[in-house]
Amino acid sequence: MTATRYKPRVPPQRTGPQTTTRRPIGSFRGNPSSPFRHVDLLLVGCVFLATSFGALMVYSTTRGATPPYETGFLKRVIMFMIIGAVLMAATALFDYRRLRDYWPFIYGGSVALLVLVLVPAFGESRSGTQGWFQVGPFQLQPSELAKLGMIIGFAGLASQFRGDLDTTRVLMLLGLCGLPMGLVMLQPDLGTTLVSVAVSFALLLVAGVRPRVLGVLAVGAVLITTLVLTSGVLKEYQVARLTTYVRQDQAVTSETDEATRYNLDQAKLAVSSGGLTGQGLFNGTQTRTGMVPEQRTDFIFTAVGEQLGFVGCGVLLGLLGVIVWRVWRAAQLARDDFGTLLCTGIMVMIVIQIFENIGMTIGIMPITGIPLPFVSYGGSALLTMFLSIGLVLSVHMRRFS
Amino acid sequence: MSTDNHRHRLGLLAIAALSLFGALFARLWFLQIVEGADASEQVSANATRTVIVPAARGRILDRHNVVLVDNQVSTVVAIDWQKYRDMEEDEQSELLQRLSATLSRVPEGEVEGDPAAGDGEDEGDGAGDESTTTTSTEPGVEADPAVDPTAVVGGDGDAAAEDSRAVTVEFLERRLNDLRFNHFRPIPVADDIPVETEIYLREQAHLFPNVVVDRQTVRSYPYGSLAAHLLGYVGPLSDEQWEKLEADNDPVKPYEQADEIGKTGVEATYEKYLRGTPGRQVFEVDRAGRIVRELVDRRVEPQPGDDVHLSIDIRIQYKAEEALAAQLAREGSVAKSGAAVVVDPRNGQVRAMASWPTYDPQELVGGISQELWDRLTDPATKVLSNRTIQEAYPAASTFKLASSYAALRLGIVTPDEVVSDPGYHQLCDPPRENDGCLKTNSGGANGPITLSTAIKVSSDVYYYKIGEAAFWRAERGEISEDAFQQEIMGLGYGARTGIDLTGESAGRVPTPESNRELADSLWERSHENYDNDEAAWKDARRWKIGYSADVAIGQFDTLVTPLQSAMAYSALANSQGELYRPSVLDHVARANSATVVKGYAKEVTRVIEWGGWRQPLLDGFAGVTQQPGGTGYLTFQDFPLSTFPVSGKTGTAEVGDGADQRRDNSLFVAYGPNPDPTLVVSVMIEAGGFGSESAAPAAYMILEPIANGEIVQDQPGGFVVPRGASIDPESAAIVADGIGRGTTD
Repeated sequence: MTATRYKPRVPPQRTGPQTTTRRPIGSFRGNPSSPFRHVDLLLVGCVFLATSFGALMVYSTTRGATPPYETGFLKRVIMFMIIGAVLMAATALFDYRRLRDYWPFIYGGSVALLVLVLVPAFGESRSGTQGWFQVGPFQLQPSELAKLGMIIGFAGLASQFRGDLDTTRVLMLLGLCGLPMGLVMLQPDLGTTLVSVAVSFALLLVAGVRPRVLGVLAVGAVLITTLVLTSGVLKEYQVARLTTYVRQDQAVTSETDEATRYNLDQAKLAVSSGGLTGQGLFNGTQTRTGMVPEQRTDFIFTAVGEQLGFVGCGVLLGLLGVIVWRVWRAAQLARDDFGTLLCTGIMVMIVIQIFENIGMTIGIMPITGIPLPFVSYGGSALLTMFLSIGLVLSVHMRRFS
Repeated sequence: MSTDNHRHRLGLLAIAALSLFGALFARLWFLQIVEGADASEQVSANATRTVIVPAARGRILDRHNVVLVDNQVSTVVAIDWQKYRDMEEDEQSELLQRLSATLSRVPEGEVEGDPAAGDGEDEGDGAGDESTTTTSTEPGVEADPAVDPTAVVGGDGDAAAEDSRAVTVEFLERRLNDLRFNHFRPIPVADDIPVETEIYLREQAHLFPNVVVDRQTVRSYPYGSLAAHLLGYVGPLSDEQWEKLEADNDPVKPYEQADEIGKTGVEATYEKYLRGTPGRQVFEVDRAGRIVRELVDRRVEPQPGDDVHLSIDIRIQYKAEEALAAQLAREGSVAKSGAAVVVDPRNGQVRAMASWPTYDPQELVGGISQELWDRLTDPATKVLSNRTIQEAYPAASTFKLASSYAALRLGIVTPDEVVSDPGYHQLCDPPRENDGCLKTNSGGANGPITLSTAIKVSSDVYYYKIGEAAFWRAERGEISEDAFQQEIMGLGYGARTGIDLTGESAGRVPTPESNRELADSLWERSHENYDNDEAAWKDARRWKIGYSADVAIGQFDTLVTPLQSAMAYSALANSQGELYRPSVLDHVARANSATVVKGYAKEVTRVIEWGGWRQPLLDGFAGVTQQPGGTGYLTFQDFPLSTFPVSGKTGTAEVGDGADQRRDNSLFVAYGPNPDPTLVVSVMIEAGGFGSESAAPAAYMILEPIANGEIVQDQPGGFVVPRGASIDPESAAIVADGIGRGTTD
C-alpha cells in the first residue's frame, strides 16, 4: 500500500581517484528487497543513545555522594542493555508476521503470568503492589510484558477482522484489552492500567473503529474513572497520588496528601533548580541529598532536569521524540495491518509512558508508578522496550518482503 | 480499513503525540527557565548545613617575644552524633555505659583485671568485652554527678566537684541532647583525658563505635600564675553575653553558643584580635538531616587569631611578683595582699603589673569546680581582683606630689618658701573638736623647711598648712570650693587612667560636693545613719577645715589605684611633663608573621606645666632615698644609687578607725634612673606598715636587678624567668630581709 512511495536511496557517486568500493551495510547478496537492507539504523542509534543516557543517569542517582562510588546499579543497567540488545536483534531477525499465528499463545502467556503473579505463592509484593516474580537475583514485572502481550494480541485479532469491525468485534477487542487491564488493576498497578487504557484507545482508533463508538468509549472511561475514584475501591494513598497534582496550590487535605505533595514539590524543585544548563552531571543537590524518592526508577527525570537543565531535558526528549517518530513511521510504512497496529500500539505505549512519567515529575500528571522508557532503572521495563523496538524493526525492515 | 482512513488516523496520533511533547516542553520551560533561579536558591537552603570550625586563639607575648599565653593540645573524647543516632537503642546504652566507665576510671588506682591494663590477660574478644562491661557498670552508676566541664564559670556547678573525672551515663545523655552543641560535629563529652585512657580508647576502638578521640587546643600558661590578673582568662559565653551576641553578632568572627570569650584582662580587651576567624564547612544533608557530603569548594579554613605582644617584660613581672611575695612572707608581716605596677615614664607602657594573692589561670581551663570558684571570688581575699587597677587605696604621703602641685598652681606656696614645722599644727582658731583641728606629724618636728625638704622628710605639717590655706581661700571665695581638688585631679587622680584593661577603678578625691552627696545619700537611705539627728546630718554635709588638711596628705577617703600613682609620678619623671593614658600593649601582629596589625603610639592625655617647680620636686623625691633623713634612705642604703639613681616617695596609710583598727597600708612610688628615668614603680602592700617598711623594700627588689644589669630593659636575655608557677615566697623573703627597713612613712 505504501510501497509505491518508497524511493531507494541513490548510491554514492564515485568521484575522484581515492574512492574505494563501498556497499551499503544492509546489502545481502545484492538483493534489494532483503530485510537487512532496510534496518532502521536511526532508530537503533537513538535507542542506544537513550539507554546509554539512562544508564548514566541511573549511575548519577545511585553512585552516592562521596567516593568510593557505588557502581552496582550501573553494572546491572549495562547488563540489561546487552541482554536487551541481543533480544532486540533476535526479535528483529524474527519475522513478525509469524506472530499472527502465535499471538494467542503470547497473549495467553502474558495473561497467565498476570494471574500467576497474583498468587502469593509465586508473586512478590512491593509497596502494596502484588506485581513481581523473583527469578534468581532478578525481579520480573509481568505487567510490563503484558502491555506488549496485549498489543500483539490486539494486532493479531484486529488484523484477522480485516477492518470489518461490527459491534461484536469491537466488544471482542475491548474484552481482549480489558482482561489484562483488570488483572493489573488487581495488583493494583494503576500506572500500567492507565497506559493500557490509552494504548487500547489508540489501537481501536487506528484499527478503524467508528468515531461514534470511540466517543461512547471515552465517555464510559471517564465515568468509570470517576466511579473508581469516589467508590473507595482504591486505597487512600492511590487517590491522593492521582488527585494531588490537580490541587497543587490548594490547602493540604490529608496526611497522605501532604506526603504526596512533599514528594511532588521536591521533584518539581529538583527539575526547576536545573535552570537552563543544570548543575552539572553528578552534581544535583536534590539528587545527592535524597530529597526525591524513587529517583533511579520512576523519578529519574528529576535527576536529568536538575543536573543537565533545560538543555539536557531537551536532548533527552529529542532522542525519545526521534524514537517515537521512527516507530510511528514504521507503523505508517508497514506492509500489513498487523504491522501497523503492532507499531501503533508500541508507539502509543512509549509516548504515554514518556508523557505520564515526565508529566508527573513536573506536576502536570498524577503520580503513578510508571518508568521512563529507555531511561529508568528496571530490567523488566527495559527488556520490554527492547523487545518492542525489536518488533518495530522487524516490521520496518520487512516492509518490502 | 482503507489506506487513506488508516493514514488519516495515524496522522491524528502523530498530532496527539506532538502536542504531548509540546506540553512537556512548555512546562519544562516554565519550571526551569522562568522559575529556575528561585528554585535553586530554595534547594541550596534546604539541603545544606553550615558548621563553624573554631579557630585557634592568638597568643599573648611579652615585649621580648616570650610567650605568656599559648595554645595547648588537649585530648577530647567526642561522640559522633550523626552516626550514634543510627545505632540500635541497646547498642547506644551499652556504648554509653562502657564509655562512662572508661572515662570515670582514675588512671592511678587501676582496678584488678582492668582492661585498661592493655595487653593483659583479657585478650579473648568475648571475655574482654564482658569484663569491660562488668567492671565498668558499678563505678559508672556510683559516680557522682559530674561537673559540666564547660559550665559557665560561676554557674550552677554540681556539689560533688571533687571527682571531676566521673562521667556518668546520665551526664553523657544530657550532653548528647544539649542543644548548645552543634550536632553536625562530634559532641565533646570529656576533655583533657589521661594518656592511658586515650591509648585504651584508640586500641579498643571496636568497643567504642562512633566515639571520636580528638585533639583540641586550649589555653596554656607557660609561666603559671605569673601576670595572671593582667592576662585574664577565657571562659564560655555567659547567658547574658550570648543573648547580646545573638541579637548582634560579630560579622567577621561570629560567635557560637558554646564558644569561649576573653573574660578578663588582656584576653577580654584584645578579644577582637585574639579571637581567630572561625572557618566554615558546608555540608549537604538529606531530608533526615544526615550529612551526605561536604561541599569542599565552600569550605573556609579557620584563621588563627592575632598575636598580642604586650609591653610587659616578663622578667620585671617576675621580680615584681617575687618582691610582693617576699614582703608578704617576710617574718613578722601580717600583710596578705599587695600590688605593684611598673610603667615606663617615657611612653606610659606598663612593664609589670603584679597583684597578690594570685591564682593559676591553668586551673580555669576547661571549666572550674564550684569550690575553686568560691575560693577565687571570696570577698575577703578577692583573689581575682587586679589590685593595681581594680582597687583604690588611701594614697597617704605618696599623694604629696599632687598636693604640692596643686598648692604651687594655686600660689599657696612657692618652692623656696620656708615653712615652720614644729611637729604639730593647730588648724582652727578657736579649735573645734569635730573639725579635726589639731594635727600632728608622725615623725616629730622638722623645723623650718622648704618644699624639697618637706617631701624628703614627709612633713605632714607642711601639707596641713597647704590644706588649711586652700580651705580658707575657698571660704573667702578667692578660689572655687573645689579648686584645690581640681588641680590635684589634673594629675589624673580621681579619674580612670583609661588603661586597656577591664574593671578599672576611678579612685576618689573628696570634694565639698562629693561630701555633701555622700551625706545626703546616707540621710536619704536611712535617717538612722545620723541617729535621726538632722543637725548631725547638716554638720556632716559641711566641708570642714580638717578635711582639706587630710586631703593634702592623701587621707580622708582619698583613694587612688597604684597605677594612678605611677602615672602621676611618670608625668613628673619625664621631662615633657606628659601624663599618659597607660597601656599594656606593644603591638598586635598576625599569627606567625611580622605583619603588625595594631601598633602602640603613646597617648598623652595632658601635659603638665611643671616649669620651675620641677627641679625642687625632683630634689625632694631624690632626697627621700639618697639623703640621710629621707624617709626611704635606710631602705636604699645598699642600692647602687651611684650608677642607678633612684628617687621615691613613701606613704603610710591609716586605714580603719575606731574598733576597726588595722595595720597601716605601706606605699612607695619610685622612679629611676635619674636624670632620665625609664621606670616608675608603684607598690602598695595592704597592712604592710610604714611605707619604708615593706613597700619601699619591694620597690628595691624590683629595681635592683635592673640597676645591677641583671635585666637590661630593652634587650632580652639576662635573668631567666623559671617556667611554671615557681615563685618561692620563703626564699624570696630571706632576700627581702637583707634589705634595710625604715620605720617612717
